[in-house]
Amino acid sequence: MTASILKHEIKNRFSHWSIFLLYGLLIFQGIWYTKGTFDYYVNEDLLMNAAAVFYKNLAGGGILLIIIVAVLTGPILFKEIQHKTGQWLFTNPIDEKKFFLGRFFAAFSINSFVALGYIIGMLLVPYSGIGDSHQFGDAPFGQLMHGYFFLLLPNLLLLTSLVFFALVYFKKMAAGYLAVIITVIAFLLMQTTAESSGATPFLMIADPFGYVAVDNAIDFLSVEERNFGYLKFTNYLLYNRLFWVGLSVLLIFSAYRKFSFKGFLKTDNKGKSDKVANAIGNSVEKTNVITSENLTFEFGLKECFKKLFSLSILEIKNVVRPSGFKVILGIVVLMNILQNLLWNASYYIGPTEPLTFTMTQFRLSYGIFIMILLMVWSVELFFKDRTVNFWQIADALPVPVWTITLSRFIAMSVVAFILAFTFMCSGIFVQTITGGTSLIDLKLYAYDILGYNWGWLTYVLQISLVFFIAGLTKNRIATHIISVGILFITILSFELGLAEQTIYAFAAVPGLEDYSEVSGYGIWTMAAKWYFLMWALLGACFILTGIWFWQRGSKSSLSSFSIFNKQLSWAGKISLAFLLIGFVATKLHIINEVNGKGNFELSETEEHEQADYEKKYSYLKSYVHPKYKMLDLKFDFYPDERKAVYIAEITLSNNYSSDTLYLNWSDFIDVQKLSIAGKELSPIFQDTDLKISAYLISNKSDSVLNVTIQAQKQYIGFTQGGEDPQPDLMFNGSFGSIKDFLPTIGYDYDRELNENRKRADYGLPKLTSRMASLDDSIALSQDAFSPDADWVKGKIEISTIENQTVIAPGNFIKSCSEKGRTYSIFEILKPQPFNWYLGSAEYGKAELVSNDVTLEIYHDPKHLFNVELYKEAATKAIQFVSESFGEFPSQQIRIYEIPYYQKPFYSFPNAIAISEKEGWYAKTDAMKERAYIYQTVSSQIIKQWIQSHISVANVQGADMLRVALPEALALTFVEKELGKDATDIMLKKKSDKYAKDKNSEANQEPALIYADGADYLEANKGAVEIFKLIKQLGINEFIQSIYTWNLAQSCNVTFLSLIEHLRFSHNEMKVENFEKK
Amino acid sequence: MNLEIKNLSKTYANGVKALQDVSLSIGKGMFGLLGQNGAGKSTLMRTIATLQDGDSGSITFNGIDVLKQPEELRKVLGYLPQEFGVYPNVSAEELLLHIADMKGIVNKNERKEIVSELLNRVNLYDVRKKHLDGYSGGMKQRFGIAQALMGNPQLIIVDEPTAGLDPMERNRFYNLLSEIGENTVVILSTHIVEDVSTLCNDMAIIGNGKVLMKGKPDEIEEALQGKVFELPIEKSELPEYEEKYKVISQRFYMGRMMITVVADDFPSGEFSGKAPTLEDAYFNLLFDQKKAELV
Repeated sequence: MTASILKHEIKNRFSHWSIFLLYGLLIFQGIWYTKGTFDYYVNEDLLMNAAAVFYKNLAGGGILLIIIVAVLTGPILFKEIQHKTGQWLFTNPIDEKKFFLGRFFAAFSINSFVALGYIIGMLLVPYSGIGDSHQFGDAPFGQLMHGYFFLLLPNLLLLTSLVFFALVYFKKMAAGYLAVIITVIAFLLMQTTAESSGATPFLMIADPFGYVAVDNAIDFLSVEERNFGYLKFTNYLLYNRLFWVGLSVLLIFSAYRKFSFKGFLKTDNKGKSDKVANAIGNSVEKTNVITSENLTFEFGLKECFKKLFSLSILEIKNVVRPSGFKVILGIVVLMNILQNLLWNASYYIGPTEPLTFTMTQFRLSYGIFIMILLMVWSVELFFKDRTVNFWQIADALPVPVWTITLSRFIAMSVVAFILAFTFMCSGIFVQTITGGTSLIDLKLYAYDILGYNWGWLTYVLQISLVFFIAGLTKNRIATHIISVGILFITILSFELGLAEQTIYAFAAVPGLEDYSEVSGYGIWTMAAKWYFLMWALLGACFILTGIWFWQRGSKSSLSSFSIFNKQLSWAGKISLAFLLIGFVATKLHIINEVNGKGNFELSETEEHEQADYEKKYSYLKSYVHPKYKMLDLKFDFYPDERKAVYIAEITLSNNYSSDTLYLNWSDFIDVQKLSIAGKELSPIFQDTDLKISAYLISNKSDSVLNVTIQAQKQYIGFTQGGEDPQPDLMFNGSFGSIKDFLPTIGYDYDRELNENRKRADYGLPKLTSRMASLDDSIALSQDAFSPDADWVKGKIEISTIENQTVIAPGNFIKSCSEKGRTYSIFEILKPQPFNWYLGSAEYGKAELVSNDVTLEIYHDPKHLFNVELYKEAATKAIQFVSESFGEFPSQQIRIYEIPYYQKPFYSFPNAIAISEKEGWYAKTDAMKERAYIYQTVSSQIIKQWIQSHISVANVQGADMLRVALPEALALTFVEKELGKDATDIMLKKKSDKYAKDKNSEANQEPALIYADGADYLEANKGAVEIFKLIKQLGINEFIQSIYTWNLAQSCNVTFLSLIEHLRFSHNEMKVENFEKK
Repeated sequence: MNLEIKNLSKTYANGVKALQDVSLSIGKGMFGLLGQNGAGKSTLMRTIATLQDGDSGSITFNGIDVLKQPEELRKVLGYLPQEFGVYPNVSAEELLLHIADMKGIVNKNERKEIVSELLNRVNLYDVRKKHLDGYSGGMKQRFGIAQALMGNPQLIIVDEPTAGLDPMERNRFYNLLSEIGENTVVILSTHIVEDVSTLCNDMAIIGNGKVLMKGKPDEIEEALQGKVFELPIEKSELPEYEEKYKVISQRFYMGRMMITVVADDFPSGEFSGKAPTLEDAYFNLLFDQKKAELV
């Protein structure tokens, strides 16, 4: 019997045309996801059809497959209730348990067969045109089947079991859908948490699809293994599979035990018979006829608006009354609280203070599901009359379409508000119970959760889209599919990099993920206003169009699309035209502000420019150019206008008598004056696209050139996309390199395309190294911090608005206030590497003097949490440097908190800048976080000494001296101050970071002596290896060796020379780890 | 007070001719619309009730052009569709109050009063606070009747209204309808012939989208006076009689098959004469229609 049921169901399903549509969708998903996963791994040797890519696809399952499974599974059992066929079918001589098993196996088999479409899609990737033939290897059939059996099938078993369990116990289709949604939410919760805080054993096991464990396992595979290897189902991945398969079996066994024909068909009739009896027996008979004549009827516009209000209330009740709504709301609130309480607490470096912005993150992590939920509810409400077959009564009532439909739109908007407001209350609740009452920022809550920043107003816009689609399609299922489909396609297009511009993401505004505690939303606030206006106008068009084409009665579709359709009055139609014009005008304005004013470039355009730059100007590498030698700078910040005005008196060394000065400029700089020795220069060549110009040096025989640059930099318009918040000139928290304002001389190495995979796309040769080789004489003569500069000294007179404090290199001399501005003077008396930075922000200040060094800590006024710890770590680090290296290189050191938009740490003359997310608002009670603060602060303090004493050549290995060496010395400092346990924590952190990130190396990982500036390499593996050297030699001996080595160098030094020196001076030293890959 | 339907036609996209040149004039009182399933009754009802457009023709009610001014007709319309559902999570009282509001009754007290009145009329007063998803089929039907009678309908369209009602409720409803029908136009669409014969003072029979016959029920019955005969036979004899006579219907009576035959003259001695009923007239008409189709 079971076999017969199974056969019938499969035949029934596979004989329907829709199965081809599902296969088509899944094939599409297979290709689409492969591209996305491939792009996630940047390694140049990774194949697009690598086994690891497919394993990851199979573990994720894909949203389309999950939707298909949710839609296909339930009806296989529920159809007997839905179509009331159970009432006669179950009277047949059928064994109910065998019936249940037959339907379950049918559902699982159908899901398993349908899922093969996903596999087919992956196999078709090489023929899909998304990659070149060299990017593909042989199809990994074995690995695909391996993943299918161990990842996809168990996941399908879980989903099928869950749906059947929910149906048997709750006898509602919604329960089945809810079970799938909750599972997917759990999966995403684990995945996003793992992404932000690393894959913990809990996350690897608790993830229902095993994705986190697979992702983690892949992280530790070499490229070769990723391309061709079989994933090992061991450790947490094995436990995960066992746990979830076990749970699936338990669920289905429980449902099997519970299932009976009687129980399945039994509905809640409690009270119904009583009601009927009451209705017949106890009614009050009245004899008077209906007194219609005495009734007051009104049908005017005013009445319609009144009805709009009363109808909206009724519709809200329609949505919120069902227990399903309450259950979902409860689950969402619970998840919100858990997220804020448990997972958000671990932000960035570890446990985080309960700041408001971490509470509002929920709207981002779960935004897509909240929106899907609202979309589904909206569709159900919009089509409720049709679904419950009340439309013939409702549509014959003397109420205009706009009143009825708009009331539903308003009702859904109110429901969305209830949801959003609940998130806000949950956040405030969590902040209160975790002692963060003083951190509650109602303005930010309102902006994030109730506003258009992926909050309530975004939900309202999405509801307007659903309304529009409902009006157009007049079909509930089509509206569901199209609405959710548009949302998915939009999000995935951005995730996969197929779309980059926010103008293509309906209801989205720029910067919604880019909140900085220091800078707020900065420029995004201005951009977001315009985007919201654009979407609001479009949303209004959607609503009016929806009303216009709404199906009233059973009109044929053609007549309802007529312009003469009276459902929307002529006034409404004219308003629609104006709104459309407004939308187009706003869009054009945005395009002008964003693209027209040069605030945004597609990544492809950017890459193209980089490739072009290298092709056209790499010949400049072989020239010796003049170099920065001295700088007197007068610099004025105007943060409110995102503007800087400056005059730079630059002394260039021209030791090789260059006759041409090549200058590379940043965007948005308007050079008002450029002269040498007072003589204005005009370009002999200018490439406006690539922003490079050349000037003839008339007095080339002079070894020193005095150049004057008078310029202004101002960002005009606004930008989109989270990559470019234009951080050097912000309303608050400006921080930029000196080279953001002054030109780079000669060839600008930073403008090269570094990833080999992309270089190949643009016809550039593969890079064997991202830095010049150790025998490159020109590069050897360059300073690693700034190849176009010697060590530079100078003076900076800098000003900003009164409530902000400037950031600048050098010794602070003095400051004064005048006419609402603060003027400060800094001097760099001894030449220093030209890695200077300038900035301006509102700061609170803490100060102390230690070891004759004045230490000042400039922090965001709200971030007092760890200032004492920073003071403590910095003071001890200064002492450590003073004791270990002799005198500290300066009498002043300033530490600034900066927005997170740029790198985490900067160390430049007399100043250190640390990103806000590197500890300023971390909870630092535990050793792990304290050790991290000690490590990061001390490494920057040590850099101060290294930078002022060691002149590093711009060749391979430079970052071993610039980055790894201070990091390693900081490890010894941590050990000295906090003990071995603390160092062990940091060593493990670095080893883990290296092990994880090495497999994402875009090119080939070099040996440490040839290290070429990969973030993961020098700071982690490099630091650990140098730390081992220090342990071998002892800290004093090691520092002494550094001294003697550095003193022996007559020009810029290399890491190789240090290793050779150590090998030569200490025969017993083991340095082979630096030479092998 | 008059509803005029002139040359109304409607063909669906799949080619089905639902209405073919239908013309009817319906005055105050109960008007019965008889027809088989698929005859076009519901299409006609929906078109009059402004829920569907016709391809050609016109409908006017008291000067209102129904097809061009649907919003005007809706102000005076009470409509009970053949099949309808209800919002599951609201009570009967809430939904009726809402409908009263929609029907333009602006005074809150009046709304409450009329809703109570109607709930009593349809015998749902005691369960007015219960959610509609707990209602039985008959209770839902009574709710439908209540909403159709809400306000001041001058044109009431009821499509198969007694489906699901027990005999007692059916009687109550018909009494109510008759009472209302004294001052309004009531169109009762049904395939239960008895309902039309007992309630309606005017009627039409519709088949294949065409009006096959119209008139008063007694006049239609009268047209067959002296032409209807019946005879008990064995079931196996039916083909033989069907060949020889115009057998318009057959039924079982006391274990034997009773056939009804229409003939201008007495068929034979074994037959006995029968007083014609509306049902006979209806079956006779269907017989003729079927025959014409075969030709």
